[in-house]
Amino acid sequence: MRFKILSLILAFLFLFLFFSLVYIQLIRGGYYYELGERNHIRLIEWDAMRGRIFDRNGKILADSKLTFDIVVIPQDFQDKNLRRLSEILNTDVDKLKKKIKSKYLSPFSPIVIKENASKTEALLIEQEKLDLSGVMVQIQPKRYYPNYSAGANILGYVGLIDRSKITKLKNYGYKIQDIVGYSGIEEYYDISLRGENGGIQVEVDNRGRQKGVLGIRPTIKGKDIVLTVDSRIQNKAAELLADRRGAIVMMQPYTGEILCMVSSPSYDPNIFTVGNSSTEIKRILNDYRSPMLNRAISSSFAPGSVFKIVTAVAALETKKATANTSFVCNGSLRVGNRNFVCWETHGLQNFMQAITHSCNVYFYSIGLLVGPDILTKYAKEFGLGSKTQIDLPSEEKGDIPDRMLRKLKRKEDWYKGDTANFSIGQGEVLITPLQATRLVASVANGGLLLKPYIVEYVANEKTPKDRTSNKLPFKKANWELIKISLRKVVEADSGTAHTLGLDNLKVAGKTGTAQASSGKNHAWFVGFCPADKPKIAFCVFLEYGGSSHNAVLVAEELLQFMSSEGMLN
Amino acid sequence: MQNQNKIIIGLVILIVAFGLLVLYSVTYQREALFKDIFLNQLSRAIMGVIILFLVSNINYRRFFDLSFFIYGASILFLLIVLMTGREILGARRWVEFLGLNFQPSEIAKLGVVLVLARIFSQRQIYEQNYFYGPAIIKEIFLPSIITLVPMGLIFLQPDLGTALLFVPIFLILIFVCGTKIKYVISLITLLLLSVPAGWHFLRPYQKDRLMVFLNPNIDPLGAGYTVIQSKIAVGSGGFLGKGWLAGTQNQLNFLPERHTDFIFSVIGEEWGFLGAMLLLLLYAAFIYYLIQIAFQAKDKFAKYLSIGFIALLASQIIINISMTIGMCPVVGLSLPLVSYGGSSMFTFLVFIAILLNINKKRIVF
Repeated sequence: MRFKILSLILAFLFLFLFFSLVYIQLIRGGYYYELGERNHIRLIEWDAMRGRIFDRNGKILADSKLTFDIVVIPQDFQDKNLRRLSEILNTDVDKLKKKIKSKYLSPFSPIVIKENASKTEALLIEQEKLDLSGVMVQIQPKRYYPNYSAGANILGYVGLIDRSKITKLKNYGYKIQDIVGYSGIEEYYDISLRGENGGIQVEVDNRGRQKGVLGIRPTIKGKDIVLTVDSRIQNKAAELLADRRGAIVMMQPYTGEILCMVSSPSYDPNIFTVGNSSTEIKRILNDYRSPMLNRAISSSFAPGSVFKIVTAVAALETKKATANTSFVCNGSLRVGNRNFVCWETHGLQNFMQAITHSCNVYFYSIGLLVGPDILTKYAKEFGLGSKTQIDLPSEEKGDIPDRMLRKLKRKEDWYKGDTANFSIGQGEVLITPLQATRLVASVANGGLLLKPYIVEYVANEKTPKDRTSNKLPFKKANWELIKISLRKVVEADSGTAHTLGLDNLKVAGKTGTAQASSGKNHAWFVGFCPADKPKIAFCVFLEYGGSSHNAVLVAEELLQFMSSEGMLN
Repeated sequence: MQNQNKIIIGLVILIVAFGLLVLYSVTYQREALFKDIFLNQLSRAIMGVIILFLVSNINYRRFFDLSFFIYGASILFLLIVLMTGREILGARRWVEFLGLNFQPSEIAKLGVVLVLARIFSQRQIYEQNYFYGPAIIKEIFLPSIITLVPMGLIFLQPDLGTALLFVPIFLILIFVCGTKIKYVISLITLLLLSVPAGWHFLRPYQKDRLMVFLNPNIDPLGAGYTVIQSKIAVGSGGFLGKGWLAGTQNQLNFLPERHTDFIFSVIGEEWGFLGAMLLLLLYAAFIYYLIQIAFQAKDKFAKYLSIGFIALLASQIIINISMTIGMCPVVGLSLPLVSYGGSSMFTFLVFIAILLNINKKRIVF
C-alpha cells in the first residue's frame, strides 16, 4: 500500500517536470528564444558618409571629412602596449588608462582614445599594427564646413537627433544616436544627404567577447547636393554684412535660382560637430541677436517704401493713376484727423518722380484712391503674405493687412490712416527679404512670379521643380513704366539710391526706410541689374540699419565686387 | 529476472552515454576542458561499467554486514574533509585517499541508506531483544541520529543540496518501512517548523540563492544570473532544440556550471523538448524497473535498500531538473549519471550494482 503511494508521488513529480517543461519550452519557448538571441548577438553600427554640399561652381560648402579616431578594442588590447601607445599619442600612460576604463562599454566595442588624430599618428599606429594588438585607426566621417560662418544659415548644421525629431521621423528609419541635419539644407534635404548606416552583427560570449561575425551591411553614402548659390557672392555678402544684423538675397530673375542668401549675424556650424564646444553653442543660443535665425526667410519686417512698388502697380492696373498723374507734396498729407508726413517736401510730383524720390504723399494719395482691399489683393498677387515655397525649412510667410479679415477676426475698424500706412509699407505689412527679392524680380522679368529654389542637383539629378512660374496678369506697359521708374531711382541725380554709382551696371531698384517698433529704422534696398536685360535681382536688408542709404552702400560694394569678378557680364 | 537486469543495464548505459554526448558538446571547443572533463568522464564511465559488473556479483548481504563499516568510514572521511579537504569554490568537498580524489558526501549517501535499511529491516529484533523504551525512540530517534550526523557534516562543508537530500531519503524510508502514520506526520510537521530556525544557519550566499528563487530578477547579474541564463537556455531550445553543439547559451559560455549542476540546461537548449523528454523517459523507465526490484525483493533489507536508493535517485533528478528551470531554489545537486563527477557516478553505479544483485539473488533463494 505505502509502496503504491510512493510510486504515485514519484509519478506525480515526474508529471510536474513534464508540464514545467511543456510550459517553459513549448509555451514560453519563443520568448526565451528571443532572450537567448539578444544574449549573444550585438550590433555595431557604422555611420554612413553624409552627402556633400557644393555651390553652383562645385566648391564644397559642406564636406564629410574622414577623420582618424584612434580606438582600442578591449578584448584584444594588452596593457603592455600602453607605453608605446602613449608615446605615439603624446599623452601619459595613466591618462590613457583612465580613459579606457571610463569609456568601457563591452569587450568588443571600440573605445575612442583620440578623436581627430593627425595623419602621422594614424600612420604610426597602422605601421605598428602587429605589435599593438587591439589598437586600431577608425575612419569616422565628420561634417566639416570649410566656409565656417559664411552661409551657415542656409546650410544648417548636423547633430545628434533629438526627441521631437525621433518621434516625427521614426517611420522613416531614424533611430536614436543618428546624426541628423538641423535647419537649412541639412534639415530640408536630410533624407537625401544622410545615406544609410551599415553595421556588423557579431556573436559574443557571456563576457561579451566577439566570437564571430554573423553579418555585415555596408554603409551607403549619402547623396551629394549642388546648390544654386555662388559661394563667391556668399562670402562677399557675409563679409559686407560683417556683424550687422540683416540679410542679402540674390536671385536669377528668370528662373528663381538663389545665387546668394546670407543672413547675419551668423554662426560657425562646425561647433556642433566637434565634441566639446557646448559653451560655444550656449553662447550662440543665448545671443540676443539670434545668429541662428535665417533673416532672409524666417523673419519678416516692415518693408517701408519697397512696398510702393506694389502700390504703384495696383494704381496703374486699376487706372487710378497713370504716368501723368501728379500730386503736390507739401511735406505732409492730412488723412482723417492726422497728419501723415513725407520725409521731404517734394512739391509737384508725377508718377515717375514719385518713385524716384520715394514721395510718401504721392503714395498716400494713390493708395487712398485704390483703397485697402485692392492693395491687399495686389500684395497677395505678388506672393506677399504667403510662403515662397523655397526648399528651405522654417520659412515665414509675413503678413499683409486685410480690411475684411480685421473686421471679422479682431472686430476692429479700418481707417483711412491705415490705408495710408499700408500704401507706403508701414503698419501691419511684414515681408521677408526673400519675398522682397521675388517682388523686385518680377518687375525685372516683366511679370513672372517665380518660385525660388536653392538646390539644383541631388546626386546628379536635377531637383524636380514646377517651372510654371506664375505670370502676373498685368499690362506690359505698366511693367515698363515701373521698370524705368526704378532705374531712375538710381540713375537720376535726385534718386534715393543715386549714391550707388556703377553707371555701367545699369542698376534699377527701390529703397526703403521702414520704421521699426524699437525706434531705429530698417534699411532696405531691392533691385536688379542691368535694368534693360536683368541678370540678377537682389535685396539688401539691414535690420535696424538706419537709413536705406546704408543698404544702398552694401549693395554697391557687392555689385562692384561681382562686376569686377566678371559675374555680371 | 535476468531480463530485467539487462534492461536496467541498458538504460544505465543509455543515460550515461547521453550524458557523455552532452559533455562533449560542453567541452569540445577547448582542448583543456575536453581533456579534463570529457575524456576523464569517458574513462570513468568505462570504469564504472566494469565496477557495475564486478559489484553486481558481490552478494548484497555482504553490504548488510559492511553497512556500519561503510557508514563509519564515510563519517570519518567527512571529518577529514572538514579538516583537511581541498577547498574548491569556497567549499571543502573533496578528500584524497590512496591517491584517489573523491567526495565523501557521495559515500555517505551509500552509508546512510545501507545503515537505515539495516536498522529498519531489524526493527522486530530490536523490539524483542535489546531495545526498550517508547516506540518513538525506537522508530524514529535512532534513525534520525544516523541521518543527521552525516547531514550536519555535509552541511558544514558547506553543501546544502546534498545535506538536504537526506531528508527525502529518510522520510520515504521511514514511511515505507511501516512506521505509524501519526509519527510520520508529526515528523514532517516538526521538520516544517524547524525551517525558520534553519534559516539562521544558512550562509549569506545560500540565503541569496533562496531569495533569488523567489525572484530571480533581484540580482540578475549575481545570484540570479545562473537561474535566468538556465531558464533562457532550456526555454530557447523549444521543441526540437538548437541542435547538438549548436546551443548559443552553452557554446558561448552564458551558462555557468553547465558540465555539472546545470547540464540539464544544455540538454534543454540543444536537444529541445524532445531531448528533455527522452531523458525523462529513460529516468522514468529506469526508476520503474528499480521499483519492480524493490517490490519483488524477498528480504526487508533488500527492499529498504532499494527504496532508499530510489528515493535518492528520484529526489536528485527532480530537484536538479526543477532548479535548472527555476522551479526550486538552486542547491548544488548534480544530475545522476549525466553530470560530470566521478564520485557521484561511482556511487550511483555501486547502488545499481547492489540492486542488480538483489534481483539476481531473488531467483537463487
